[in-house]
Amino acid sequence: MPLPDPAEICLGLAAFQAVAHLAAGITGQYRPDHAVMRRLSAGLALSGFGVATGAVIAAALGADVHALGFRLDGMGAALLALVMIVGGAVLRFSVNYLEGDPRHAAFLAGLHLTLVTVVAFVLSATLWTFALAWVAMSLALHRLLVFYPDRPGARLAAAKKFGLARLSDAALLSAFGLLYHATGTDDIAGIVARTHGAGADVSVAAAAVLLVVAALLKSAQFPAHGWLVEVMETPTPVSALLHAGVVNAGGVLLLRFAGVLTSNSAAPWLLAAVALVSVAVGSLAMMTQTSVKAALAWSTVAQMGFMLLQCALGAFGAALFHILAHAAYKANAFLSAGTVRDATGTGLGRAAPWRALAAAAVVALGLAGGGYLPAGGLVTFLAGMGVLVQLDLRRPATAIAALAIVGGLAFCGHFAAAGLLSEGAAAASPALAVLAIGSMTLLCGLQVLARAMPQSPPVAALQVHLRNGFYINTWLNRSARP
Amino acid sequence: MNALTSLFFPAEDDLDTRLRTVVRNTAPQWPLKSFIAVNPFMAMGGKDFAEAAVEIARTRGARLVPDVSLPEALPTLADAAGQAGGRPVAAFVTERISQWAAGYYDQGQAVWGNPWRDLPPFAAWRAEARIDRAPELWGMPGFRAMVAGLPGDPVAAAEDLLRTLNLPEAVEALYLQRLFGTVGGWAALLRHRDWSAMLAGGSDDGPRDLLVIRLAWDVLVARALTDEATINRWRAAICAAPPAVTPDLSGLEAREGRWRDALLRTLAQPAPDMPAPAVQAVFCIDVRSEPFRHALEQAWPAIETSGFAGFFGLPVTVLGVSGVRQPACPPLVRPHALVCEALPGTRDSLQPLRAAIDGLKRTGASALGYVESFGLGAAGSLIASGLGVKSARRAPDAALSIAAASAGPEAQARASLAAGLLKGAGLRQPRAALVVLVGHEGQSRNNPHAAGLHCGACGGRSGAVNARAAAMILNDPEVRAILKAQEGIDIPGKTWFAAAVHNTTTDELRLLDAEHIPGHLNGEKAAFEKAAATAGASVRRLRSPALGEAPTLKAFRGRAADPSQVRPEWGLAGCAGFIAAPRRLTRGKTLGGRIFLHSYEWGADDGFAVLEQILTAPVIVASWINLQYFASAAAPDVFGAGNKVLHNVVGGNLGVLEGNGGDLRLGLPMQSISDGQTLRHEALRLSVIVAAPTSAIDGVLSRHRSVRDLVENRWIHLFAMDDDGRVTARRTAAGWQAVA
Repeated sequence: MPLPDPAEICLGLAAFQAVAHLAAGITGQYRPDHAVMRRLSAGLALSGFGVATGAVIAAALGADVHALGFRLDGMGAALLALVMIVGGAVLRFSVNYLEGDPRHAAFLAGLHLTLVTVVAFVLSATLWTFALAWVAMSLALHRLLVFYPDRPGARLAAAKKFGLARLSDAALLSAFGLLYHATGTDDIAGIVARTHGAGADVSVAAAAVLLVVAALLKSAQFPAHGWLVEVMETPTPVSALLHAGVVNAGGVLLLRFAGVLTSNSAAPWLLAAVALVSVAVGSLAMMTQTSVKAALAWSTVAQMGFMLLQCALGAFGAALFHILAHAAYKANAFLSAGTVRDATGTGLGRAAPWRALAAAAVVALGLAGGGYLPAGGLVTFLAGMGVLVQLDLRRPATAIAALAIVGGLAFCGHFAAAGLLSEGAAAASPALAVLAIGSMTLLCGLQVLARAMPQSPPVAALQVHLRNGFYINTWLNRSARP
Repeated sequence: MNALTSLFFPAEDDLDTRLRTVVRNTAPQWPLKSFIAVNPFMAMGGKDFAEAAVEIARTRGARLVPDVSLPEALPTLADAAGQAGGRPVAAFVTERISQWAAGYYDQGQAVWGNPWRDLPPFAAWRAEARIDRAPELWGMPGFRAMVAGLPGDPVAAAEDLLRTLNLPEAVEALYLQRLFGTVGGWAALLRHRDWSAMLAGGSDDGPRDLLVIRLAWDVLVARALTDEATINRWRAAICAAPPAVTPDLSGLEAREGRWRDALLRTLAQPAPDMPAPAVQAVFCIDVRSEPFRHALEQAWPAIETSGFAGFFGLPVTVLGVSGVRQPACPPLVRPHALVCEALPGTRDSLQPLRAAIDGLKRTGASALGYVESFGLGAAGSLIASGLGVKSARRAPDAALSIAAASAGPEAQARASLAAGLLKGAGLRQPRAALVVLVGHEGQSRNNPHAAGLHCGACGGRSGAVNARAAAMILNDPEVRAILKAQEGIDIPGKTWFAAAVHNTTTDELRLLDAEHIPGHLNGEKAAFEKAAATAGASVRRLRSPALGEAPTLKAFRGRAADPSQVRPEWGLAGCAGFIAAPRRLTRGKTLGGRIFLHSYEWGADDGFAVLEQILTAPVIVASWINLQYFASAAAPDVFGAGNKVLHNVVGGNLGVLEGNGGDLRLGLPMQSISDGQTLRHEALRLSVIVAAPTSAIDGVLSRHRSVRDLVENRWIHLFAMDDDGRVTARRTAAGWQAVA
């Protein structure tokens, strides 16, 4: 008798886990017994790690199985492992964190239901399952965002999120309609295969742009980021799940439809432009925030921007790796946001390495312009530029060691993640590469400026505008009623 | 207490003075790293409790007693504008001021901080408000220009602003008080800076400037959003004489009486015989020490415990291994000696690299690279926390050294500290050869208010350092020689002072520097450790139902190490009494962990100096703690810190916001007061019971107005106890009255 395929076992386990989450969610909703729910949640957190282990093995063995509109391939397995690990940590954390809350069981139930939708989402193989999971995920999360419905701030942020999510749904569904019309199949892999080289097709081009719009709205890119930096009105574990899981949906969408994205030239430009603005605004705004959670939230805007930029540049392996790494980092950061550090003093410290940055930018521009930098290398380079500005070059040994460790680890990660994708990297358009390097240099330059002359009037004014996120939330909130 | 008086009442009568008088009505709140309990009404001691409750209702919108006759809060112009336009104007104003204060006073959260930190607060606010577009985008046209039109000097600006309002003087003071209350969290934090400045002989303009900023907002908001008619209506409303009410305290008195009567009956039970002790153990007066002391004496009757303030009389600052200096003494004391911690032989060559990499996540562009390289590493912590694996690594105890005190030769200074400690703690002649000084600490992870579980007398730090330093001083032969020569205190050569720390979360007691304890005390040491373990187990059994935790050490340790635990322990919830009496009058009696227990033997107190010290320091501190709990339980929206699951640490360590923003939160989180269904702290005023002659107590009251005010104005209840444990008399504004 042949041994069963480990990927099939893993998909079965994932399905079993999702059904268990669904059952737990329904139980908690209609039969709210706190003690039972706490045990269920802790148990499912534990079994989730079993599924995660299976998923890692399946990914390593190069899994690819289909069933009932779902698919476990390398990327699906990696994301499944991530969801199980983040979800398990968030559930276990919530078991004690909300103890005593009269709606503790309902909270746990909300987490379980959201996890069901996220599992379905990362494993979706058809337009139908994908769209259904996309919408369901947003609705499940909405209930958690208004867990304290008497808090006006919670209602306000959730309402913004709700509106943007519906816009994003509309873009997604239109794109899916166009793709179905153009290819005649609802299988995502089939669509990607058939649109390959179909750049001239208007409906595919329009679909690519709509996919980008859906992703930008879903992943809280500037200026549609407002809700993301305002959702601290709901318990910390929701922030962890949101910033580590749900907000990545835009990236997952583009990775699944990478072939559609690259078949077209307008979509990557739109994506890169918005993502770069988000990277810049998010990075700089994060540095001006005065509360832990606001800084983490703005950092997510920047990190999502960087991940989407990687997609735009064709570095899909890097983007997948960024999703995994950022999710782990951010979930952990939120769950430990209550730790108070000793006062560390303020300010960026010493004058910054202008010359090193300028040299790096020139080298990068040369390489990218000459077409010598593959997409994966380009994005590692972009990340390295930011690191270079922050390091203290007066301690060259430390700086070089840090740069080497960061660059090496990131590059290995990109390489490994690319192996999980059918399309790990596409050639970056040299013009886009130049735009990205130029923008990153500008961002680093602004950071240097903030360090060198914080009190000069334009820099000081920029600090105020950034701290207020360019007033987008203020403007949106102006018509709120008590 | 003269220092305390001078902290509140400045002299002259110009506008600046009036503004400063208003702001000093607000009690300070310490930042998170040294989060100690403070009486939120400390400046109102001169007013009767009921009268103050009315004023607090009008200026803070808080109801300290459940009485419908308490008045509503005075309206501000922002309230009036909000009501007229149907918009949350007051909340917007608080939000903007909170944002500004968080940026200006930030202690290390923002790496690209407020550019005007070098300017005085009002000037810094004005500079920023001339750039900030938020008010205009929110619908207040011309706001920046109006700010630019204000005088640059805060007092001149206040003068201009108040002139346009044209309020009668008495109303004006209340109005300003109300304005300050709308940003009460930041007001309290800035008052802490003021407090520290005043202990050092200066003062801080922050609170006054904050008041002027709030005043400017109120007037400018009205100018931008309302018309003259609305302002006139507001003026009429605020000037209307409030109905004269005297809130009914009978319900509160009855609750206090019920609890106290049971206590008095317990105290009146006959005192047991006390054998000569083999070990004496000095604990902090913290209410969490009391059940442990009881259990310890039950476990080994040859132990005699006593209670003393847990900083052991050492007014020290600790220079920690992290390089941060922090006072480790009560807030009323100005620290003057320095205790340095050092970790021997731990130079780490990878430290610079680790610091460089860690710094990468703090700036935007470098965080992108940091996440790609190290982000995935956090999955390990996620898996560990998902599996419920908890690490409770304890850093090794650092070596201590004590730097010179301010005056006199070093040994002399230490000897005077030692003498104060021995006299205050009733240890002039130690009766046992082993005397253990037990500090205490809480243990929690991922808890912004962790310092609140530590020893308040040690400035919100673990009491371990103070206990170790005190033991070091008392074992010093040079100090002992001076004590013998100058103070006539002769400590036998075989007597040893050991230090220990009581973990109030797990109820474990750990001897510190135990390797230095001389060999001839090995028997006592072993028996003491065994008794402490037994005592810990029985206290855990007592505490386990209220925590919903299995009564095992493993379960309690797990709780302490759990980053998702919002109630690692109940802290001082339930605190309601203070007893200063010989231990024999309380020994063997079950007091329920609600009593601050101070040892006091009036027969051995020359000139009642120790009594004076107890009534003016430990009693005051206990009343601060009691009134902090009282306020957080009675008016959680105003004097409580809100829901822990929404807390957002602001400014590095300044305090917490609840959710997105709003004012800095005051006091204790909901989870420290309530189990979600019922209050675990019943709001009762402190009942202080002193075993001393009433004449001696009156002597102290006559010299210390602040203490007398607390008693006569009903902020605390004061009782006298006789030598048999019977409470005989109660002190009120009308003098002593016999207790039936």
